[in-house]
Amino acid sequence: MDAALTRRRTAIFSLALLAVLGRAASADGATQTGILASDAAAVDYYQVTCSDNGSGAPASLAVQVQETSPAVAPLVSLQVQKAFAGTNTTDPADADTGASPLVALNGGAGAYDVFVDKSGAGLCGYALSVQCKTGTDGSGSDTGTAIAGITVSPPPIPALPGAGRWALAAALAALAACTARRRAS
Amino acid sequence: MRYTLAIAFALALATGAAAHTQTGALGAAASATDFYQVTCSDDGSGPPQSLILQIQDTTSGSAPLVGVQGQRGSQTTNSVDPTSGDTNPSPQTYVNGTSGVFDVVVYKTGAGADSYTLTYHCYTGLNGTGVHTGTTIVVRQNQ
Repeated sequence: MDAALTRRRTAIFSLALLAVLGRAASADGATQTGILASDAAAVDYYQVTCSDNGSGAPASLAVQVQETSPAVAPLVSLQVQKAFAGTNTTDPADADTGASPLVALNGGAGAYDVFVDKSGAGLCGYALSVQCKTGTDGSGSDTGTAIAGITVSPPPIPALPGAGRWALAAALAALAACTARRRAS
Repeated sequence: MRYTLAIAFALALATGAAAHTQTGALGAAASATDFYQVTCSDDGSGPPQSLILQIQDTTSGSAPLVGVQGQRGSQTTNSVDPTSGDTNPSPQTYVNGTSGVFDVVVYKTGAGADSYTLTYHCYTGLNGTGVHTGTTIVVRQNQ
């Protein structure tokens, strides 16, 4: 098999697995991983709800995004919006360990719209961090933060050989069963 | 530089509504964001079904890239001008949605003042097809 094709399939498989694992783990943290589809216009749309969990009333939402693609890819940006106010941040480098600058939007309690997008065509993995804070401009203490996907790119289906497909299917089935058991208990 | 951008922005505000283009300037802060609301309506040409968006970065040199992101309900889109200061805009993109208000955000990929021309048109067909119909814009945030 062509070496470049193998690398590409491996990269897609890695991104898909990261996305599945990230979504499975997101319920107990204010982080969310995903993969933007190849289309240059692809946008992943989340809503983050800030509430008082006993730590204090929310005053702002702090957000940050990190591109997690293992190779050179478009830049990943995020925009956050509430009422008639918005802010944005971009991870300036591909495939490194640094994230975008942390930005905050002062919007109090309620739902914030968060959009993750990119600067061109190509699959792009990302890790999104969101945290509601009791102070303005991302200051103060952490407080109640819940995230929900509104329109999110489905994980890509990697073109793996037969054994690889079965292994991926088994891994996904096991994850789904684990998640269902956790929700039932 | 800021003075020139301010004059260009003021002139555009005076003339942009009829042409359905809006020029603007994003400040030096990396997080600077301009927020518009575009209202699509039936002006006699037919009820709207989509909004077309396109953006052109009009600052030459090593300015950050400029992008536009549109949203209506759960429908979203995004387009970034891949080259600053040339004569070519970003790819044209669209959001499907009927009569009403679309949120449009203009952003950039890093620090540095940047100017842009935003083009927006409501159309009677899905995916930016059909004919042009009623289109108005309001500035909600100018950073």
